[in-house]
Amino acid sequence: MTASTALRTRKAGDLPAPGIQIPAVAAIRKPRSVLVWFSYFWIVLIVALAVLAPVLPIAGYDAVAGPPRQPPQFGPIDLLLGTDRVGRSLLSRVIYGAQVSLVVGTAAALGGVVLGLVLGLIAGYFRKGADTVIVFVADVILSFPALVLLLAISAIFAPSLWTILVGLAITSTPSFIRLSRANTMAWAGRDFVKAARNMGASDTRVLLREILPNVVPAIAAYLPLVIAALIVAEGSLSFLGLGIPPPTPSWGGMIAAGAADLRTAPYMVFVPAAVLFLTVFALNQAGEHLRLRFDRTLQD
Amino acid sequence: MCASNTGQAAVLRSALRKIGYAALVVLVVTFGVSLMLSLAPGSVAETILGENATPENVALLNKELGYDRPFIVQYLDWLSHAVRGDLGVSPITHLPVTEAILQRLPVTLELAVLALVLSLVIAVPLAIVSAARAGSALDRGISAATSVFLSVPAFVAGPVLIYFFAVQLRVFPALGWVPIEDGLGANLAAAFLPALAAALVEIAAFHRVLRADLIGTLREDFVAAARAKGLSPSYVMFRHAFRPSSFSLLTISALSLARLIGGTIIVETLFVLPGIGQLIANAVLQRDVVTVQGVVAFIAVTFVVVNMIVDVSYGLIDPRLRRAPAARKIARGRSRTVKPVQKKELTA
Amino acid sequence: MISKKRSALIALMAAGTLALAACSSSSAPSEPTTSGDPVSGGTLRVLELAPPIGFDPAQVFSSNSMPVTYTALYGQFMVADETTGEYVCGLCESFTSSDGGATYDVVMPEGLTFTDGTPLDAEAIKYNWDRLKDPALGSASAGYASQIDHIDVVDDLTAKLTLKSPNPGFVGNMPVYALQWIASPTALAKGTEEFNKNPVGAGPFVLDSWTPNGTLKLTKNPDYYDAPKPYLDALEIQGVPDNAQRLNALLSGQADLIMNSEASVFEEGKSAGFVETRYTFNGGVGFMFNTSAAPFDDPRARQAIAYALDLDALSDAATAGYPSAPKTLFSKDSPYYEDIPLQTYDPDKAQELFDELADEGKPLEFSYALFPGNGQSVFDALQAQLSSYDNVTVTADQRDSSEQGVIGTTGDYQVLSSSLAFSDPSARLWGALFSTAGATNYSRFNDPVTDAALTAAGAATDVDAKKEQYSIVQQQVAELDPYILFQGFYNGALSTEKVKGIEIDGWTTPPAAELWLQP
Repeated sequence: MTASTALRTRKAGDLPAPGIQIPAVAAIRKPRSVLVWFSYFWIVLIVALAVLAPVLPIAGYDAVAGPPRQPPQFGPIDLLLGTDRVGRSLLSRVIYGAQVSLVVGTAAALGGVVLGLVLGLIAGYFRKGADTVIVFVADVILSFPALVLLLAISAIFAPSLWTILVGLAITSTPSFIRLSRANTMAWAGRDFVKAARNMGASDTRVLLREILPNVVPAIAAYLPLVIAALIVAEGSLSFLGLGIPPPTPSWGGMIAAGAADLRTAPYMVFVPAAVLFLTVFALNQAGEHLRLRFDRTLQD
Repeated sequence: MCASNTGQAAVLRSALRKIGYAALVVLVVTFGVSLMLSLAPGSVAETILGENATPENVALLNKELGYDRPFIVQYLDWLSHAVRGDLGVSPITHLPVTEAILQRLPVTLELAVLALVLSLVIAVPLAIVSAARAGSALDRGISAATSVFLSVPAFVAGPVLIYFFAVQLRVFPALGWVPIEDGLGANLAAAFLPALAAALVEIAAFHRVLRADLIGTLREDFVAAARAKGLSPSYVMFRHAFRPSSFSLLTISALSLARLIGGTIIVETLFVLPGIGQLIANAVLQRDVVTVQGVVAFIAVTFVVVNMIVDVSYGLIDPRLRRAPAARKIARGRSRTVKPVQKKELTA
Repeated sequence: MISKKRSALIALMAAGTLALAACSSSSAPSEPTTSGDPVSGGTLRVLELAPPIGFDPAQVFSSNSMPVTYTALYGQFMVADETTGEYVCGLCESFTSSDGGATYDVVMPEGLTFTDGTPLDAEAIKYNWDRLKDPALGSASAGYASQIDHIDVVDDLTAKLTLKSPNPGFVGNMPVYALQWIASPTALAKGTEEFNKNPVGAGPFVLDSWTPNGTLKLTKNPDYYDAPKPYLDALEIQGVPDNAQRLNALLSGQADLIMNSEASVFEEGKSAGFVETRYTFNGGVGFMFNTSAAPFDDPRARQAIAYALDLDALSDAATAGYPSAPKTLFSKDSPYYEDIPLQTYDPDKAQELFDELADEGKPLEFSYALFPGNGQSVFDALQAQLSSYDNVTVTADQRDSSEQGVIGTTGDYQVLSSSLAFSDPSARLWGALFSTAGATNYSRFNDPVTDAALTAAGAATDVDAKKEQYSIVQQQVAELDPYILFQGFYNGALSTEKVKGIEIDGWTTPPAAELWLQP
């Protein structure tokens, strides 16, 4: 259905003339590209660093690790990526920042998945009134840009980890509602589901035993993409000064803080910006890869 | 004729239904926002009174401003003013919110349009090249490049662009806005970097959608026929394939425009541009709930209306949709290519 | 269809780039010129520290952040004397007290009018200052204005102020607050919203157009009382809170003059060839403790922090490499300068005190009130330095920017960054430290020895006697630490060679009327 599926039906270096089509048959496993491999490597690396941060031989994220405003340099590990205005290690801060970004992104996305999955299953399976109401709720949440919704939430509650988590989970829910609803509808019409129902299985049983296991992979495949989007959203909030309170580092907050010294110490922006970019990029690549493999609605 | 009449009636009916649905969404959105903001700690009266906020003064002013009434009454009051274009007066700036929005709308609108145009200018040629050489190294290179853009949110792109183009090369201003009446050149120069920073993320979306549609169209029989006639590949691409393929591109362009209107918050803050995004960001930092409520309602309505127009015009433009339910399925299948893009709302 | 659109766009973009090239070439550094007599004409592009949210004097928070805008619209009611730092009459004829600050007589010169023809007389003064007290307006100056119990109009030109309690420093402190700006009562009576569309003062410029958070355009007031001033035909002012962005704009030729208070920006601007005009206040910016509430009602807690901090490093972090921690309360230029160090950095003593407090069952845990904007690096440095001690924890208490103006008066804080900056000690230092100074004593400092010395200094007539008393004040401040000053406080500007007449003396300067452009 999408471009890349079509792409996979042909090997690179095939006849260049477009339009001479090989019929779209089941996708041939194409060797993963370097980018995808790199992406998985980066995700594993950043997750490992974030998890192992407390035992790594690096300074605390809130401790003075060296002279202030040092550019990235070889030598002591804490100075590898330079230091900020206060002399805190940028290496340590991006690693601890990864904790925040990953925890916030993943937890909020999982929250969104659970909520979206439940509502999507109900809507897609029972249709009728429940469907109308749930789709309507999704439309309402989608009717403003996520950042505006998050800002509105920030106007009410003081910024904290929980506010941000809940806010982000809410903004990611409608996407998952739509996804799981579409997938549920696709599976609900299949013969084995009908068979189960004819054999007298209850709705709950059909939903949990027959449909859910099939829907989950498709939804899970979207997780990296949504996590990437949520990391960006958290970064945007932190950039606006409405994110996780200091001194806990977050990539968006580090970029915002470094922007003041952009002329004299551009690495204070470039270091967190590069890490954020690589992480989002890797998640997008991985997500794209997983999505094409597992989302049934894209494969027909 | 009779057939087309019933067709038109069906289109009209479905349009009306969509409009009604949109109105309901707007109603619930504004209600939800009002309810949420009414939960905010502190009241407008406290904001106004500041250090003089003794409980008696607060109670007095709340009564004067009507905040002592039940929530539902307050909301209906707000709504009845809002439909007449009155979104209240900010307790901080003492400016009517509607006026503040209208003052700032041109800036945000120009930014959004410019960002859209920029991303199309970059994405469309890339998509054409990609589709013409689908699967080639060039295509994969371009796809990789656009997914790079997809991962560069505005708050990353902004400082980097400022560093290279304003600080190092000094070819574009680092901040500020020049109204169009002070010269188009200066205006565009001021808008260029912020628009580019906001546009990068959109490029990938446009590229993907147009590329996919082009590849799909290039597979169709009439293209093969054209090619069989001996027409050159580029002629076929532009005369036969491009127009039918630009359909979903137009759709997501409209959606993207709506998203950009709300999504210029970051660049407006970073580049100090007097637009709607800056208005809401400042209002949040100052806890100016009246302004937040007004702007959020405004953005939501814009969003819903644009979505609705797209939806309705979809039915009007695509002749297949007027015929049979079966045809609708085709269109729905098509619109599915749009779906992954919508998730990007989060990145705005 | 698309390709047509595209070529049009490319043309547009090309036009934009060309126009830009033209702009940037004109920003090449000009030949240094000797400043001669002021020349009239020209439009000056200014960037100030913040955008105005309106022009109603009740809406100003700090007079220091938008001096050009406000002096352009309202002139200067009081002006600072260059040498003593004391405030003397600008728009007014005289402003005196014959009873030690219990009552004041304000005399206006004859014939002053606002640009709408309303006379600037005793009635206008009374209207403006009474109005600031109105709680519904929420003026940040309400606390200060409330020191005035009532105002009597003695005759057309004379108003008599009766204060709630005698304040000998009332006049000197006034320009810090919105009392400095007198607007036309006729225009104010129409309400803030109307007023902001058409602000009316008696200043050298009048409003041409204003986009909130965008550019403010002002044109010359042809009927300004002090002709031939103003020299400029027009002003274009923008408020940009970010220090770096302001400098970027100056560097890229988008502005002729930027206001600045940050040391690093001064240095960078100077090294890029721009002209610095800088005024250094006595005192400085520092941590201000709420001395009336736990945990900082205990002097040991404040002393512990004072011993614990390496203020030069902290200042270095806050100003990106240009530390300016004041060593003494008065700057070396002041006649009251005395070498009494405000702080001694002694980590061991600090740890002892932290431990002592912890042993008593109240380990020092406090929150620092953090506002959106540039203040974060101060908190970061404070937190990072304290993290190397045991038994002390600081957390960030994030606040809305709307609270900034009132947090000091409400006292709803433990510690925050605030300025103890003053030019004339009898006014602002008195207001900040005298126990019954009321709303301006933000730290709620209450020390009888300091009170007595401040009173004696105010009453003394010669410099030596004053100096003796102020040295007691310095010792008390160094001992009891109501403030820990970590950064010099500046009011200043960076400008191109062409901008002349930049006079910066304390608050509310440079006055717009004096500025001119070398052709």
